[in-house]
Amino acid sequence: MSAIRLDRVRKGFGDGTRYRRVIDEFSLEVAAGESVALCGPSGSGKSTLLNLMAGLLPVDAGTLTLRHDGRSFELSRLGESERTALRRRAVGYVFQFFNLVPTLTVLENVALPLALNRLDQHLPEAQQRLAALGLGDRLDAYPETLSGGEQQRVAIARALAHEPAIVLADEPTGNLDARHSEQVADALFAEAQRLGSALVVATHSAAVAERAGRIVGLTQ
Amino acid sequence: MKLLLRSFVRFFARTPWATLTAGLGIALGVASTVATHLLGLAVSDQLGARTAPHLRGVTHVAERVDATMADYFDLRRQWRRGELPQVEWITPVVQGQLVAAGRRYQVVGADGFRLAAPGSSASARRNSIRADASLELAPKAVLQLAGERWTVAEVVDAGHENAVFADIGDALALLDRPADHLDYVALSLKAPFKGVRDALERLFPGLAAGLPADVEHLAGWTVRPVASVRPEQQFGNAVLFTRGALGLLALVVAWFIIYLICVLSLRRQQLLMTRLSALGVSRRELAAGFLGAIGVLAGVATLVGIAGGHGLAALLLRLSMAGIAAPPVMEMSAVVLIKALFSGFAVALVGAGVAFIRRAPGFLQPPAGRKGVRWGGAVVALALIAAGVTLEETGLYGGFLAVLAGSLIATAWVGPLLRWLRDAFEARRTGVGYRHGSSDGTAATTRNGLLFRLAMREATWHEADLGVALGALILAVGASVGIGLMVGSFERDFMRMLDQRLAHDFFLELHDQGGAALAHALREAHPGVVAVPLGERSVRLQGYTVQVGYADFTVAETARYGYAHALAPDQALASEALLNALGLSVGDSVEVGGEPLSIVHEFSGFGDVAPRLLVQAQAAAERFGALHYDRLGLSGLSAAELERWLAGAAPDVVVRQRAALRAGALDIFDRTFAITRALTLVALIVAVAGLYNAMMALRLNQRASVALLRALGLSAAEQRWLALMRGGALGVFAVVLALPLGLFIGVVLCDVINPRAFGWSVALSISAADWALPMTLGLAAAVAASVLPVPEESA
Repeated sequence: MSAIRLDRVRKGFGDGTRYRRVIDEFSLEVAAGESVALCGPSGSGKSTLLNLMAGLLPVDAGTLTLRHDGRSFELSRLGESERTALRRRAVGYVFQFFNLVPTLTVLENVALPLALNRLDQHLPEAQQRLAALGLGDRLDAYPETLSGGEQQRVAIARALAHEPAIVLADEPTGNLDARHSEQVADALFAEAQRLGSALVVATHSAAVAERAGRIVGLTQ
Repeated sequence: MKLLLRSFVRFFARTPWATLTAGLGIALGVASTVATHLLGLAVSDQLGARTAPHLRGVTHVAERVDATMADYFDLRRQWRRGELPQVEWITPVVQGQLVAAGRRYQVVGADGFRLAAPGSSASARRNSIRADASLELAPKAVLQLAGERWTVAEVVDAGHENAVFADIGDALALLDRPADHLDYVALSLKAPFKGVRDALERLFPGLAAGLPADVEHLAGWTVRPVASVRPEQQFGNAVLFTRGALGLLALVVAWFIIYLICVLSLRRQQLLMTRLSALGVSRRELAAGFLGAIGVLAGVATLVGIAGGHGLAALLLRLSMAGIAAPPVMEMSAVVLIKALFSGFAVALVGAGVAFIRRAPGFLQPPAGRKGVRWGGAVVALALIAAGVTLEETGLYGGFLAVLAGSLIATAWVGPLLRWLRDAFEARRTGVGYRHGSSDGTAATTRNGLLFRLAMREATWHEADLGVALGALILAVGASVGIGLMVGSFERDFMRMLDQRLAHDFFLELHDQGGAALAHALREAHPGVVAVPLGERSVRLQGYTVQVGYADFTVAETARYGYAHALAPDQALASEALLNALGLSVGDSVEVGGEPLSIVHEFSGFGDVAPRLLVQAQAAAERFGALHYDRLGLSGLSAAELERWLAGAAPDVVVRQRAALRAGALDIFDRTFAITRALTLVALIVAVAGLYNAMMALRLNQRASVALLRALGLSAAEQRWLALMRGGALGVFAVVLALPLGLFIGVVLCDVINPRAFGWSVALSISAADWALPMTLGLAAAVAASVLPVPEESA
């Protein structure tokens, strides 16, 4: 059973006078525990696809189904608030920039999805995960005091804290050097694998893409 | 350079919502400045137009015991010989009362040529008088006074009730005084700081009224400011000054906001500037482009503000004068235009320049707070408060300086308090037990706990973005609370006084009828009726014009003034203003008509234009001879019975009912404070516009955070809740600081400014109604600024 399924999905953007189709008849299935890398040039629609999967954007046509706790949800049939609720429970998201809430500490950033899902009792595990990622002594630090690599590791810990069915990562190593990229990619793939989450990574990095079970190429 | 300016102006044009709100903020600031100025000018002109003819241009009066015309001629000779260089001109004045055909007239005599209005042909013709408008006489009307016919040459709105003005010889004849009688000499003295005073008055109408009068010495004479013979002028000046000072407060708030808008505009353009800077555009060129664009925006907003301010002033004046008189036509003088242009255009440019120096690329972090300067400033401000409140000599300026210093302390500490709150909050967070899931820690990582924490940090972490706007809001809410407390306390005192004073069911205004005879006839016709004849005349005591009221002061009658005993013939009740003016207190004696009266009680005399003394009719008769009664207090009769009786006995008597008098007095009270309330509301609206601008800029800066929270699954309702908590926290912060400031302003207005301005103190009573509304408005404004939508295009 696939954790996420896209069937002939279309998406475009317009400003009233011009319209540009970014995603055209795109289909994809990702099973639970599977990892997929989305590769393609800038503007090919990688980030748009992730935003569609997260329910941040509605599809123009086609169907997009997420599976969570044994139930399937077709996103185009859900309203904004229902999509938000589903995203909160079923999706973990890692961005390239602006990944952490600047006014929350490391621990609070990780506690946020747990708190939103009323899973506060899992906080000690999240703390352990942070410690395992080498951030045990930075729990009270604010994001602005962390390095880029540390910030991305916190973001991964946060994305996985509530054990989501689907993890989406948009260029998670895009602004890191090779050494830190490796650390972050290791953490992301290992944690998703451990939790049995479906992982979809949009990346330009061949090193990251190679770690995925499957690579999907996108063209402009 | 053209391209650079174009890029900045286009930035404004492509973000119309943000530009509109910034322009609106500047326009509101200018509008409040213009409206305040025009209102002050209109009130000032109205008061100035009511100057009595004999006091036109007079600055001081000189008196001496048993002064005669010979003394005046002696003084005039000294002046003509150049021995009194400080004197510009002098003129003798006599004044007194005359009762003719049952009506009492105030007679004022001065040089006939000086009495004539400038350019008037009606000068010193013999047997001609000028009549005050209150006499309701037409020009050329003929009056029979002291056995002669007198023609009304001119009707003047002098604000002197029942006054006739005549050449000094005629006045002496009317008053039946000897030819060498003299009451005082009116002087025009050269003021050493006249230029400063005039400039101040032109810039801030009404403020010069609070300047202390110049003190002069003439050998053998006692010299006093003209207000001592014209107390209504002193009263008017105090009203003017208070309004002028409030206008200054509105101006400060407006300048705060205009500066803030410049800072925020700069922050919005930070990215554009960084990119231009990276392209090699110099700081000087960036500054020129930014200032040029701000100049265009401020120029347009200033023009809108000038038009809006004129309209606002006209509206407020029309509302406050409805039913009283036609509001004066307000003209835009060069001064108000300069003031508006300075407030809108120059403050915006200077603000933009300062903001650029502090925040432009290369100076991204605001300068560190100068702790020493702040503490030093606070000590100086406290010293100013102490001096202004305790030193009587500082007059009204001392009182308002104290208010200004208090306001400065409240606003200067916004930043440090926000930092302190942030630190206190963090100290609590890092406390033992937080991290390991104790009760405290669990609460902190629950959904509501985290959202609350997030909201509090959003509120306390952005001192640079919100500090100035919060300062302006605190100032506006504080002033509104303070003025509300003063007006509310005054109203309650005033109503208490009205309840006492209007103990009689009816007050009859008498003209031709003898008050005593009418009272006697009423008592005979209706046994059991209480009819008290009331009379009044003015006397000069220690250089002050004092109204002496007389009646049969039984226990019931003295109760109207809060005294529980009947008055003995050698006792008197004194108004607070009289005790203050003469430096007396209860238990002291005051000499009237050559004999002492013991002051046994002090009463409040809100609305009295002159100090008052109340004595038994018997004591008045001993001192003044035959008494004339103007009014009759009446109880124990129905309106219908009274009407029936008067129709036969005295059809010309005007009857005023207690309820109507009370309603009329309260209506005047409300009108007096309508403009004051409106001005504070305008300042509040300007501050709210500023806070919305600040919140908008902050929220635009935080769009990435908001997008992130949305991606994490924060629902729209939770985001609104977050904004509500943030706005609520800012609002609570502002009103918590504004409340002590408001209380302080209220205390200074009641206990310092009112006694110094009007001669009476107001007992400060704190009623929730007075402070709840401005506090609620302030809180609602902060919440609205946080919750109201920020259009995407503002970015």
